[in-house]
Amino acid sequence: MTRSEAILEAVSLRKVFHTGGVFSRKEVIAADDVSLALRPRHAVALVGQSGSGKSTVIRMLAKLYDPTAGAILYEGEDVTTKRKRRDIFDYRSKVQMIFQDPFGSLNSTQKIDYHLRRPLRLHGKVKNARDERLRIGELLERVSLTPVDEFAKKYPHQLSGGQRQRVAIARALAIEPRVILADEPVSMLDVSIRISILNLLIKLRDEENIAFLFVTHDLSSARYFSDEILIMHKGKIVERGVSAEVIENPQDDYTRLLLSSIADPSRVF
Amino acid sequence: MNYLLRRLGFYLIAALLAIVINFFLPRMMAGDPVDVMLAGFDTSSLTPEAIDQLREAFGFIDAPLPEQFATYVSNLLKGNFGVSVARYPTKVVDILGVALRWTLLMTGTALILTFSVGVLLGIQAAWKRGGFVDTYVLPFGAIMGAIPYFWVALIALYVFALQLGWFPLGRAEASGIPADWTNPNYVMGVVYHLALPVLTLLIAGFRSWMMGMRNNMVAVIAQDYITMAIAKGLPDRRIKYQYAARNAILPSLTGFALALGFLLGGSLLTEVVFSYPGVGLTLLNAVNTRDYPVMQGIFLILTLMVLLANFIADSLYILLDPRTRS
Amino acid sequence: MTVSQPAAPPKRSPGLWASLPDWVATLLSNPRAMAGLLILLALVLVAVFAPQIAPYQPDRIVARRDLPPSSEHVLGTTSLGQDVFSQMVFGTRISLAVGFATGTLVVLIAMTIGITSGLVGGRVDNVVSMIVNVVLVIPQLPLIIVIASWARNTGPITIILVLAATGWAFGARVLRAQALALRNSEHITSARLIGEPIWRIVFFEMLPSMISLVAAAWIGAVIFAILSQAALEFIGLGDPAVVSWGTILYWAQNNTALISGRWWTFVPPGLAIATVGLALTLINYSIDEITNPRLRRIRIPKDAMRKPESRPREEPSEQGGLVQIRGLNVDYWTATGPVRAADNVSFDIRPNEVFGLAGESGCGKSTVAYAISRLHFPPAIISGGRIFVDGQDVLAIPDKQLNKFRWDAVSMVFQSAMNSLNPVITIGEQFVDVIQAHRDMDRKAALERGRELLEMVELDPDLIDSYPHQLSGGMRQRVVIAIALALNPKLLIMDEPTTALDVVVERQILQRVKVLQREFGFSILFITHDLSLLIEFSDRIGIMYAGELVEVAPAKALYTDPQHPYTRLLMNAFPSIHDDRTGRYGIEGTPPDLRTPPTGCRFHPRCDVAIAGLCEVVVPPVVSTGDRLARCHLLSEEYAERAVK
Repeated sequence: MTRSEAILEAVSLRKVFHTGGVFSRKEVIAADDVSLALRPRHAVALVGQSGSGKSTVIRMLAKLYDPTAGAILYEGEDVTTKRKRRDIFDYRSKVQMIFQDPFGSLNSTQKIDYHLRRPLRLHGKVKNARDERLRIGELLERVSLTPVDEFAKKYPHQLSGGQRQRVAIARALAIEPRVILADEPVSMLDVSIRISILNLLIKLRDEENIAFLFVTHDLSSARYFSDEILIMHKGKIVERGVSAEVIENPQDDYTRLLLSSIADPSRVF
Repeated sequence: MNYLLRRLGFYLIAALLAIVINFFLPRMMAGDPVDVMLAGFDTSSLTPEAIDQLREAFGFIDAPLPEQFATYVSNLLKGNFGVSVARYPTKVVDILGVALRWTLLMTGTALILTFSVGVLLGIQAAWKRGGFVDTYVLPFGAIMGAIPYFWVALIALYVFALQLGWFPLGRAEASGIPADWTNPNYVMGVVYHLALPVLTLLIAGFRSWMMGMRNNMVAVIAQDYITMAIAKGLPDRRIKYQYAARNAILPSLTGFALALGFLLGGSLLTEVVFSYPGVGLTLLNAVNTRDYPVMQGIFLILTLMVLLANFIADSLYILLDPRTRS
Repeated sequence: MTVSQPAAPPKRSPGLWASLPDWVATLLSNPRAMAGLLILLALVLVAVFAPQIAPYQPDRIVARRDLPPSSEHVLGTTSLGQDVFSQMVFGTRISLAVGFATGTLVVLIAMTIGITSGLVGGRVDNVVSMIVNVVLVIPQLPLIIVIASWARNTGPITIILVLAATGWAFGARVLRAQALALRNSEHITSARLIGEPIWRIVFFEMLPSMISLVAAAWIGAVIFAILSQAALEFIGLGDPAVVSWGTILYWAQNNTALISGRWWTFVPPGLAIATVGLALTLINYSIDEITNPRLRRIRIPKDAMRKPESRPREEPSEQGGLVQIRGLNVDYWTATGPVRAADNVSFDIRPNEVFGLAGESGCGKSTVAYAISRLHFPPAIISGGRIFVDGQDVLAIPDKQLNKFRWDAVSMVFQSAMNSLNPVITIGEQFVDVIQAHRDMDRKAALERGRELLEMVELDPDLIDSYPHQLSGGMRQRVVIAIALALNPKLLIMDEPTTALDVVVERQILQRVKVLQREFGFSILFITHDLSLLIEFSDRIGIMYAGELVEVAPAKALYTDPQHPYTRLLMNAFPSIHDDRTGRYGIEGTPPDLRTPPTGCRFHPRCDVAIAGLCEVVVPPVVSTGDRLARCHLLSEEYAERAVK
């Protein structure tokens, strides 16, 4: 694998949340000294249990949270402090996100084509109505929602969880991003269809040169999908490396504990 | 304790807001407020000193606003709510003193009754879906919520007092018996006069507790700890009260302020209908004579009472919910 | 294309209104809502056509004073000699106008404040929500009276303004809470991420999801306005020259109509107000039912509800297991009829064994577990089959004796550890109540037993005095397991007991359970969708698909040699940790909708080895070989014969 330039980099990101009301304030360090780099056609998995801070990291990278310290670099340019609407819009035209809950991430009052038409129009990807229709069809085809005309006219509640997640992926693709941040994209789906969503993401990574950050609590799917695994524990990255290496030869105690906790029938039989 | 302190701070802010409203309302109207106040009265009986005294009580002094406000608040803190213009020179506090006792008696009794009846019916409605309470009492309550309190009182007075003669037509005490709380006859008279107004308040007012409690119960019954309690084979009574109702009543207590506000409004109007000598009747007289100092005094005192009642409800909440104690 | 065309004029986006048809259709199909709407419509018509309906001018003196109702004056006359009926008809105008105008104004204010506050969040929201709560805590009627009396000119417009100024807070609180919840939802975040402008987020993303709340807030505000208007006018704060229901009451009260028994002046206005209120309440009730499915009632025919104990008793088979499930059917009743969530399920759980039950969400695995403890309540009904636990016919136990049966022979650990414990009583209480419900033991001994049980699950026995919220998720689940073992049950059901937990905690807890199981010799029914975990943890495994049990086999046999195509595909459908990353693929399609299950074999539309002409037509037989069974045509002799030919 040739090691290409990083598109998106996190440098020593730190996030401190203040909880409590006006009278009692507490500090919670959600993420501390987190660094990672995303490259085209490369997937990085950020693995951690609930409360490990992995969701905080992905939200900082999506510019939904401002980091307390550290920097986010897009193609080497520091975008950490860019808060103007226009700048954030430009950033998100390159960096998109997919969520965990396929039931919650779509607008239940709008048909599927609306979810694709909006990003296409907002980001000036289509010239006219005909073009728009073609693009929507093409996007649905790319995520295997066929026949496209039928799916375009359906409401989210008429789709299964896996199909909805495909719509969410198509919506992100509509913007033609270079980076996709995926927040537990399969953990709420039926077991039988998880792999097909992961396979779809793999296909997109390879065919469209998209850089992926894959946040998950599940080491097995992290290994399946990603080239590189970062293990996060209590806000810090405790181990990082090439996927197979991390799993077959873990260095950190927490990683070892995590690995020994994962069910593995091949160990028993 | 942290929780109570926070609530206390909140009520102080609420009290301050009520004072601010009271202070600014007269100043927002066109013309000199004291002139407005006195507009309907024969001012010949008032000496210029008396008028100045009025001005001062409301902080209408020749000074910038903050100073006026300070004067007003310091008067309030001294218990000086001004003097009535209709019954000059009686102090507002003195007019309210007696009336307040009757209102406390009526509203307090009604509060306890509506709360207990409403909560129990709400528990029952949610616990036995399709049962008597759920099928008949709940829709009845819903309809009662859309009828003016005072109209229920009017009808009750007409039917039970005027036509049937079961209850007195008005007032709070039996005539001819001197006010003496150690005299059972006197107390009986008070209870007799209190009964119909309180019953109308109960009929018109239990619904807000019932609806709230029922909706909370329905939500709580769907919780996993209820399923687990059933699976544990606990007696129904224990599940119903210790598991479901104990949890469902908590949001009811946080909605206490709203329900109390409605009840208080209802009870003021009920007093008017029953000529019950409480704050409501005093307020009506003040409205009719445009006695602003009395009206504003009543507003402020009632607000403070409601805040106090809410604070008591909050303290109760702490006893019932261990999560607020940590 | 050579010339770039200008963008075609965008079609009007349905936006806010797209959500209406569905919603309105549901509302209109509700008879109560329909009745409410019709009453309201009738009243509006009365208001509009008042001059045509009323026989007299409302303020004109047309007859003698205080006339009782007659054919001439349907509702009699007032103390001035005006026609009460005409006043009522004209009064509809002012009362409805004030009600609707105030309601609309209140909702607009509430929406602006609530949504802005919820959307902006942070400090702004803190301050706004405090102000809202402060306004709510101030008693409304006295405040309205004070404001109205200072306003002096108290015509309808003033009343509208005063009521709007005091009545907005309740709606604002409700809408703000909803806006806040929506703001943090993935759906709004997604819209922000694709770059939707704020105004579109508000009008196209948030408002459509809030429309039922807004409607409810509007109705509530209209009721509030009509009642408050009547109250204000009744005590003389309205303009007595304006004819409205409230002023009719005012004049009635002032002219001692009550004492003189002239009911016709004070009964009609109250009834009119009540009618408006009733109509609005009916609509609100229906909105409540539509948005809160828990309040909806499902009609279930009487014969479906027949008590299980009325069926003839049966004896369990001698050589069967501790638990014997035979032909179990469970139906969930919906508005369109029953849906069979567990269909003809039969299996045994042997003494001292861990039986695993796996399948995707909605396959019926939890449904089976709940049936064993008789935990199904309408709209779920056990409609057929038998369950024997330790020789006892569970479905034949009369309702009154159910409490004795539950937890004693069969106890259960539920999916959500976080929520299985009563949050307002101590852990100790929750041991004491279950022990005392089943055993003759005093409080002290029961608490002592509780401490012992806590130690068994490796918790500090002093936790007995704590409340659930003081414990972590893993600790709470240990407490639940301890409670489950309190009565030495024969069977412990664990329904996805660790899904919400960390894998590390999950493993520790399961290992402990396994140790206790060996020590005390109870059986476990272990339910999860995590097949790897199940294979490691169980002795035998059952696989469910679309309500049916499709395969049962010892764990090792299932792992090394799955017989049913679904089991095989499912095992291939998730990566294992030491995977070489090739040859993994999901199962085509999605689990079927149980309202319309596929014909023949339920798995045939997704099966990679389905036999055309057979699998979609004929229900496959259950084929049992040795220690295992599977429901598939490929295993049947009939098919084998055919294949040979």
